[in-house]
Amino acid sequence: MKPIPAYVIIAVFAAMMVIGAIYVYNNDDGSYEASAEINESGTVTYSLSGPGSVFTYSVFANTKLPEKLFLYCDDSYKSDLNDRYIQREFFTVLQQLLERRGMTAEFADAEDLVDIMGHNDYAVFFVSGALPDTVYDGKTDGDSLFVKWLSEGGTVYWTGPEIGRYVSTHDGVKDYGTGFFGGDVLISDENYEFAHIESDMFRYTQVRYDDCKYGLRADRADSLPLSYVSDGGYSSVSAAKVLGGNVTVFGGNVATTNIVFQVLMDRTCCADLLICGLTYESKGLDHGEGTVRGKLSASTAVDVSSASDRIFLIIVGDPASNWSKAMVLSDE
Amino acid sequence: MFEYTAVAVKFDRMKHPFAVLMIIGLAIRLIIALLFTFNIDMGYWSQVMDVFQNGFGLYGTAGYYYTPIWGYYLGSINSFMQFFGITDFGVFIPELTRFVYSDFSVSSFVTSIEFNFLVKFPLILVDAATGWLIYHLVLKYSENRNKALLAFALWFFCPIVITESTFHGTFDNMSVMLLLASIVLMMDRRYTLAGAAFSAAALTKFFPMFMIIFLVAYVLRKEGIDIRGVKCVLKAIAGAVGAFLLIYLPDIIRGDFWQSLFFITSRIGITRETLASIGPGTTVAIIAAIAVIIGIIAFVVAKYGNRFKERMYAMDDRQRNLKVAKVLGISASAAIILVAAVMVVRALLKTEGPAFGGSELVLLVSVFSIFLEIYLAFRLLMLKEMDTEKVFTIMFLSGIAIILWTCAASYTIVMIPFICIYAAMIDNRFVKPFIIFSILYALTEISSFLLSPTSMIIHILDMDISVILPLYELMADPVILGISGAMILTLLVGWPGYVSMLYISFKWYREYYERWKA
Repeated sequence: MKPIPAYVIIAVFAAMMVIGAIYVYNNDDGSYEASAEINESGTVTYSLSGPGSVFTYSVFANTKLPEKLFLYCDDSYKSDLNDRYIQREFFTVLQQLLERRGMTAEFADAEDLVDIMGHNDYAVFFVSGALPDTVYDGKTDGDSLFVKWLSEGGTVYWTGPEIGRYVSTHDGVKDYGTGFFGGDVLISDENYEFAHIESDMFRYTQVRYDDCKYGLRADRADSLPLSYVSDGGYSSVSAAKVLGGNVTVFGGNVATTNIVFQVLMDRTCCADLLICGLTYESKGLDHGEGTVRGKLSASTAVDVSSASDRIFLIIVGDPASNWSKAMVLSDE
Repeated sequence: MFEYTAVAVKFDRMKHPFAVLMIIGLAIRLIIALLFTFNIDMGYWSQVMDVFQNGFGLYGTAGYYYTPIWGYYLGSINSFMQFFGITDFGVFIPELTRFVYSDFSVSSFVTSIEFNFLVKFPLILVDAATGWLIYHLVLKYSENRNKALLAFALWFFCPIVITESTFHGTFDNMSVMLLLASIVLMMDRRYTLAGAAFSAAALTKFFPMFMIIFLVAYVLRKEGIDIRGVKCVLKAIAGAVGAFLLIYLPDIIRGDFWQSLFFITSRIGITRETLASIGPGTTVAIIAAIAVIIGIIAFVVAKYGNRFKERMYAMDDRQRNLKVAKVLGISASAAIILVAAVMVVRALLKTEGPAFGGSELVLLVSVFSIFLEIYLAFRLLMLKEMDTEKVFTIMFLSGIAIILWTCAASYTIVMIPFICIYAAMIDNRFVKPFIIFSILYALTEISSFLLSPTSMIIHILDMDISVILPLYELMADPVILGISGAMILTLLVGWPGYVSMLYISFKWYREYYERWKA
């Protein structure tokens, strides 16, 4: 009696594996394209084309897109986040996600920051939890390069213990007690502080980032919660005014999430937020959703009175975004 | 020996009993698959699809935790969905977010009916394929169609098997299907293909590796503990290596190979950073070391195997088996003590986290399982004749030795075919204990059964989540003494299930001991 069942099963199994492997490593889900424009009356006409997915769109006002984005990563400096591999790996992945979304980000070390902070239209992302001593001296009201740059409108993306509290050197990390938020962040011994209440902006950002450890109070003045808020009133992601600049704080440490079904979600949320330049003054004007397969064109009406610096954000994919694009809506 | 005559009569009266049983089993599964899904795994599978849809392959970023096989399976499903324009994977339900990190974890992403069905349907076919292999195996070696049908029915209607493929959408059955395919091929002396199938089985889920000793012993016993037998084993190894390389080829090319093993290495404390630092030189050294070890073992067996066999045969069977059992028992005890000592030292040095947990206990039991497998393989080697009943008895014992610890119901699937085959083909007195075990152990998933209508409620009935939210609260929130409802249910039904599983081994060894004493 020949082992026919085994032959059939192995053949079908092998075929399925080949198809799956080809799809996994050659799928064309990056081949989406989108465009958007707005007319004087506030009608936004957009088009989206791609292989097939669900999508959401949002219109924001009062955004500020940085001229350049830098990812601070310096192995020679001690940091609160001791695992250098995790830092570099996170930023490498983020770079790829951003490139897919039409944004370029460069690595920068502690010395590079000195030049970068001569440009107040640049943005820097820190996951180290500590600012290097090349640009900051621990004094939130001092005259360090970082304070000057932030006062002149610099943009920071931050994750980890309160920004400005820790300063890193080649030899160690120094704790100055409080940072730019005066200690008004959620300090906890837990690895994770969970936020689940949708903020007002969640409808527009669709950012499902739920760790609010080190997060700002949601009701803090000159700040805007962008994702979830905890039962205790702390925000998992907030854009806040600091001196003259904007600091977007991701709770916990977005680089170190090791909850396997949350890792990619956190990273794509990060990328989607970075590309639309939200600040503490931003507003959501409109939100919608749909399905695309091939090409579609549609329009939506938004209130353009007293709204400037508008961005049209389209996010494709579910549960995590597979692609997104932020387009400036110019009146001209 | 008791004959299950009532069942045999029913089968004889059916015109096409195999087809009838298959259709009934498939129909049950298809209905369940459409309406009931416990979403923790399904939600995660949708996120795995996001990993490669973002252009990372499977291992370009953290987020995918298994070997490539399951990833390729999800890729093939995703390609099918895209081809037919199925874009709706599901919807986030905000009210479920607070349960995500509870003791009884659920996903806040409630997958759509189409998604659930398309992921689970091939797994249902895997159940059917596994049943077909069981039927084939029993029919071939017992030449009794009723026994084959009984074995098939015990597998195909087993509540645990239905739960895992059809409620949960987990893929332990795929590993078992490939393991059985390798056994079928091996018994038919197609060693290269058997090795390839075994490699795929072990790469799907790790549990089949416990049976590698049995499989090697079978080949050596069948072909000879000499150069001929060694050549056949090497053919199987070649098949296994070939399959391994084919499966991992994309990751080897992309440089993600060691990262793909993180789900194994993490259990022994090896970090992603360490894996990423392993270069080509180290890889070549590891491969060379493994090849040298296999070469040495092959040489020793080829040169001295026959001599060893003759010496063993010259001894009295009972005395020899007792002696070997004692030696292995002492070795197992020593190994367990050594492993436990290492754990104690690590626990004392640990600064955070529990000092000693479930995974440590599992490791200790696994050490015992390995020695038990070695003893069973020895007994197989020492068979004077390749008696079908004895071979399948040892296969049964080897199968149930894999899982001796309390575990999730899905992990028990690896041993279920061997119990079904033994109960149907050799000793019908194990049918009832098996049925009791499979019902009790399936009941450990009662919490997931209760929450499985969620997708149906949201996507078919279009009702609000509040309809089922009280059940989530009951399962996930503390009910008594800080213990969640799900944990209470598991404690209540888990222990009877585990005891019923151990009873199968106990029953066999008790009867064996009685016969041995006599």
